Amino acid sequence: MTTSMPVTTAGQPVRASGGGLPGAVAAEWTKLWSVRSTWWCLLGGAGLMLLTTPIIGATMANNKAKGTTVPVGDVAVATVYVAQFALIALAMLMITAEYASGSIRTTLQSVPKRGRLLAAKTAVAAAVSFLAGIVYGLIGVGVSSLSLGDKGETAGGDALGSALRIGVYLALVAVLAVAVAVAVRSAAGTLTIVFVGLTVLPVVLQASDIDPLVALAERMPNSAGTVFMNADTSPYGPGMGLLLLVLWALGTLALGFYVLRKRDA
Amino acid sequence: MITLQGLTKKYGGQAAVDNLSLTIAAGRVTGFLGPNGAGKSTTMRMIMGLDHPTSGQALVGGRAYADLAYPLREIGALLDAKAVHPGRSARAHLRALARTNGIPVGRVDEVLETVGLTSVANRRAGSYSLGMGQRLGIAGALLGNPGVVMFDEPVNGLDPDGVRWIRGLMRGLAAEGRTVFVSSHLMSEMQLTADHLVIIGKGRLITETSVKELIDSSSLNAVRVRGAEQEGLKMLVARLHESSVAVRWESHNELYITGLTVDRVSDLAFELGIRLHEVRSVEASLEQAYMELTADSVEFGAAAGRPHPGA
Repeated sequence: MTTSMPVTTAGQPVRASGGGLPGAVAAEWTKLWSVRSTWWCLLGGAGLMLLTTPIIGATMANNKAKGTTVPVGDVAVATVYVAQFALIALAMLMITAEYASGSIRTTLQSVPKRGRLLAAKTAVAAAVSFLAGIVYGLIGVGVSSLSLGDKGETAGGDALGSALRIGVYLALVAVLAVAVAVAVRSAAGTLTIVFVGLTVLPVVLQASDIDPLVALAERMPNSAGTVFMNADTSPYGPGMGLLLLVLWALGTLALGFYVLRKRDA
Repeated sequence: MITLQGLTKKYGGQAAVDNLSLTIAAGRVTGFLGPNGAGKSTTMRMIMGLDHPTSGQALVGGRAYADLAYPLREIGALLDAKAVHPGRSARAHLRALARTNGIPVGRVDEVLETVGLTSVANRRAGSYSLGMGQRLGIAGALLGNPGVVMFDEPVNGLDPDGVRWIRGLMRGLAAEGRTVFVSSHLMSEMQLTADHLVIIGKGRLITETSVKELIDSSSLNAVRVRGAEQEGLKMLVARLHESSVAVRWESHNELYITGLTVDRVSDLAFELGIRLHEVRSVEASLEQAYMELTADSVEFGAAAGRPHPGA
């Protein structure tokens, strides 16, 4: 038996077009939607938003003085700190699942330019997280205005703005997750680093009461994210919050790229 | 065509691949042989741009792998059969691969047909047997219709049917003018499949030769003689010793004679008036010729005895 190839001349290109970065992005897109874990992550995140928004909303309302209201956007933002781990898992799995199964070798054979591969994975993870983040934001805003009733402060445009900013924040957190995953390769290692970096370390630094460390904590991704998403003005403005988030994401990505480029697959 | 120029890979000062220079030509199956740890897989990974050489270079069609605009259209490789996400279907896996290299998606169904996976193409790859995984890996290698194909231990764990299929596939690909480079440590399989051999040991090139040349060069090619009675054979042995021909008793009525042709041995027996029941030449197998050659470069070998023909 031999091959039943329609193209008879060996080595003739099938078609001399396509590929490149768009091809790599298309491939990552195909791969993302052809595994169940993607759907579980997205649904899990939405479920977390649905379930935890009323609880967090109620807690925030109880902490407020009688007669004052809670902006529903703030509730949505507070809830995102729980639900974000669903999208972190989604972004991380685009890399760690390939290392776990060995299919990273197949991937690198098809896209040997490692910068292009990382760019494609980052773009897909960020785009999906951005859109999912907007949906999560809308769930958070909608559910909290329903559950809080007259204790909630619903300014239409503001709530939509919150949802959009949540999308941007989650896209940048997904980039962070991709960057850490590409540097450490394992799912357990990635989750640990991202979890500690996003939630544990800032609290520890804040509690230290040492000024430079507190200042650092205020500039880490979750504080920067809170300032940006809530459009706060202290300790810096939302523009600075976004800039800090972008710097964290790109800085970590550069580190991940450096490791990926050096490493034997 | 694959070209290796002084290809070297060192891990902590120790060379896994040591200054390997080779050209692997098109239109034939080149077997890549060597004991475990000889550096075969490392060499293949460097050809595919996965591992960075410490020095030297590996070129595919004259260019380094990472510089190929559409690598899958130039070279296809099966390095590890299980290198597929277990939750993804074969079809989705191949579609993603096709997109990276601008290969028409219709090509996916063609290669699935070629490797015989059409009926299970939508099943999760994790549910595949080893043989099916191997076929999926080969489908990926053939996707871009490349002029060069490379397989690392393709028949490992396959049933006889699968082994036959891969053998036919590789012969067919070479007959179409492609470069076929295949590593294996199954010598019997290489004897049937390969035209040309590259043998390495401890990362260095031991020899580059054709299968026929390697077997012909073995000291284990001999003439087997079975006699009617031992007395006659003893006469023959005495006569051969006079002319310093190597002879070995296999049993009380069997001899192995090295360095003479069947014709010569038969004539000699006739001259001496010895009755023989059998005279035939025994050819060393590729395995035996290979073992002789690599005896010094087996890294993790047992101190095995010298193999002998007819064993």
